[in-house]
Amino acid sequence: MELQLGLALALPDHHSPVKGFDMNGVNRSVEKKEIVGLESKSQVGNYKRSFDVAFEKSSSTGAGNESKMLALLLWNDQPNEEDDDDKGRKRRNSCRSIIKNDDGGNHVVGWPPIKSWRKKMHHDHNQHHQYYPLQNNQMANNYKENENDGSAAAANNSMYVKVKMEGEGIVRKIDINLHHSFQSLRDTLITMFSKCKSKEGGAAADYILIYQDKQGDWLLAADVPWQTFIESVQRLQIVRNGG
Amino acid sequence: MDSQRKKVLEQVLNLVTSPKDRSSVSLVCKDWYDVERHSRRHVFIGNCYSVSPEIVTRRFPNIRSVTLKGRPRFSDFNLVPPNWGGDVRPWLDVFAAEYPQLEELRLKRMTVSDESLEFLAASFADFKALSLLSCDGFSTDGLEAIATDCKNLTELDIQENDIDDKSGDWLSCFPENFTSMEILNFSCLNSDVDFDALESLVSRCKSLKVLKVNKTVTLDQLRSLLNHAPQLLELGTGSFWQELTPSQHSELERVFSNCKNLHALSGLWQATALYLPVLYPVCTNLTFLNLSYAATLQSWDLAKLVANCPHLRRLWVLDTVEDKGLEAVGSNCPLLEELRVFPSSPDGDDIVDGVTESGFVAVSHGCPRLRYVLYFCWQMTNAAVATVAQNCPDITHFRLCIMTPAKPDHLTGEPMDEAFGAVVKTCTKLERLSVSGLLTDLTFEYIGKYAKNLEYLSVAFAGDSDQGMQYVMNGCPKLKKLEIRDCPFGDTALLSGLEKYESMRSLWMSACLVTMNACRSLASKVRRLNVEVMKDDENGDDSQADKVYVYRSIAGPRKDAPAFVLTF
Repeated sequence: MELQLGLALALPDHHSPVKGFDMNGVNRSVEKKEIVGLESKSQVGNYKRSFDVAFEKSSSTGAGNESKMLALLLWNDQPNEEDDDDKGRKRRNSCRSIIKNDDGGNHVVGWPPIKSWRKKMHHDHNQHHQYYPLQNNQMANNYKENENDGSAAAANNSMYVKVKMEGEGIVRKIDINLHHSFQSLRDTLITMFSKCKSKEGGAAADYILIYQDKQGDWLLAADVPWQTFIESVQRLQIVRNGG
Repeated sequence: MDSQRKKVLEQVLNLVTSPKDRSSVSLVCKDWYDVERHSRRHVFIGNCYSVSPEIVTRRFPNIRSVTLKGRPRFSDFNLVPPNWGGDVRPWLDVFAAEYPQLEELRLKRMTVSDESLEFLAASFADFKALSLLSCDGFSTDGLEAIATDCKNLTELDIQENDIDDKSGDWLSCFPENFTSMEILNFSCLNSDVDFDALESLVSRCKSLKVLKVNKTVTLDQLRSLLNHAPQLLELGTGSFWQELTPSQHSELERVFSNCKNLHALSGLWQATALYLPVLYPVCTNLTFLNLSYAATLQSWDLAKLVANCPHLRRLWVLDTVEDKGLEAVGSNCPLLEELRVFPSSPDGDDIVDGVTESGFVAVSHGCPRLRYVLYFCWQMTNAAVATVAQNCPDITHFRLCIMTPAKPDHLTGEPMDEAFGAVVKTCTKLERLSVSGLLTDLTFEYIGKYAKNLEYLSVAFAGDSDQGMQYVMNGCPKLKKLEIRDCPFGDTALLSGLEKYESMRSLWMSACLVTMNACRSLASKVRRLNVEVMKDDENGDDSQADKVYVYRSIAGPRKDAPAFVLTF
């Protein structure tokens, strides 16, 4: 989904940029109890879901019958998220007419006018997780392979991963290498998303942390040793425990 | 004029420091010109190709301090090809021979090799201050040479440079007895620093006023540094997140509360709500808060922070603070003069709402002294901009970037012409303007008619016809710099500025409709104008001038132009 978002600006016309978003339609039919299923370790083990199954195939094959498989990947089924996606898509489509294909790529070179070092800082901040000017599925697959090969902790002793909280429209980032235990990571995430917590009126215990490993599978964070976790984590999500 | 009178005049002129005033003085008569040039200690060169080092040193024999700027500003956005030029070396060679007494060098957008830095360190015995902003071509090896050989260095300011960051060892190259540092900024470097060397340096330089470290310096290391340097006026922290023990935490609070003179704060990488309260004691005195690296900061964090900053004059943030954060700024910072809001996600690939017109208006309501605005957003309205201009009529710098090119007022669907019309009509002191959004020639008509003090105009994806640019060239009497990209302005537009370009520092036009012939014609009609064309690729249309850079020069066409630059 993130990859699709990064692409939307200048996908070739024959490729529908909204493909990735179709998931939202699918997702809405999914019930929360399936997310609860996360809690069962054995179930997680049995249902190892690949990135391809989750994102590529499901979106291209209609996937109504795969909704069960998608359960763990749902970012949420809330309407506000939908709004955000629509806005993002509209925003990018509207400027397509003046997009120039500089360097064979997908965006307007030098726009918006941000100093390149600042952009670089932003890239560093996001590490491998975005900014690849993907043009088609082939490249998306290459990207995935590269990601598997390289360690996410490559540079700078920092390792940023994206964190999504169920019900929040904005994805945050956190430097995993600043933490040495699930406890501290959890405390930070709770602070980070505290606004949403108070809004929902839920206590910290109502949320569980899941992560995506290098194979693209979503797993319960607390089920593995910390070291295993930081070696494989690519992305984080906080989901409501039982709703 | 006899020598006695010359001495008196010289004494008086020593009190005139502003470059503008000194330029005026030099125009009074031949004697004044002569006294002025001998007594001049500082020279500012806004374009390194507008004059040659030989001409500068011949006219001003006693210079101690030089500011020199190189590439056009659009090089910041990768619009100028690599190896375009702007090497400082020819200047250093002449300076070493003519200005052995040189103490200060400030370079912006220039190429500075390690060899140049080594040469610099070896050539000027009393060298004191080096500032490199948006420069490239050097590595930390060059910094080692500076640290090793500049025994009286007071300032090393390395900002926003594209530097080959080999290691943090350069910090250990300052000699044991070196104590003169007053300003040290290496916030743009990535590699781990030799912390022991840094701590030792900070502890022995008792006059240190400005310290900006990079993000590898941890909170606990920062605590040690501040313990040695409570006298700091400006601080750039490293990473502002670390697991701290309760005693480390309270110690951090203590050292911050000891920094009674701190008035500028930046860095704060990875800052979260957890440790922001340790900053509250210093917030009271802060006049400049730069949170533009703090990508993790959100609206409520900013709200809490600025509630403690009643004296803030300058604030830089990322758009993750959202409109709510800006509302808090409006409510808490009545003295604010400068606001910059940068995009956290410049390519729009994250789901970030950023800031909108409502945050902009909120700030303008609460901050009537606002003079400088840089605002990146995804949507804006004419009404909001007009309100901002009404609320803050003293604005001198107005840079609005609606990041979707050619986006209209998102409520009415109208072009954004009236927005910028309101700005130029209301803010009569306006010096710098950057326009964006859907704009017709009407915007430029307003600018030409009303922006009488405008010096610097940036335009992108705007206008309908040559007429747009003509309005600007025929109005705007004080225009110095004009940069245009992706606009339908052609030869007529370019040539309408024929009489103006000599009084301007530069003109940039890329992806417009200008032809080679027009460039040739311009160059032939105006002596002392260098008209450079950069070709994007060899296969393109030969008659079109892809990127045009026009500037006045008393040095003639430059000799170091690479093959892709054609000079007319």
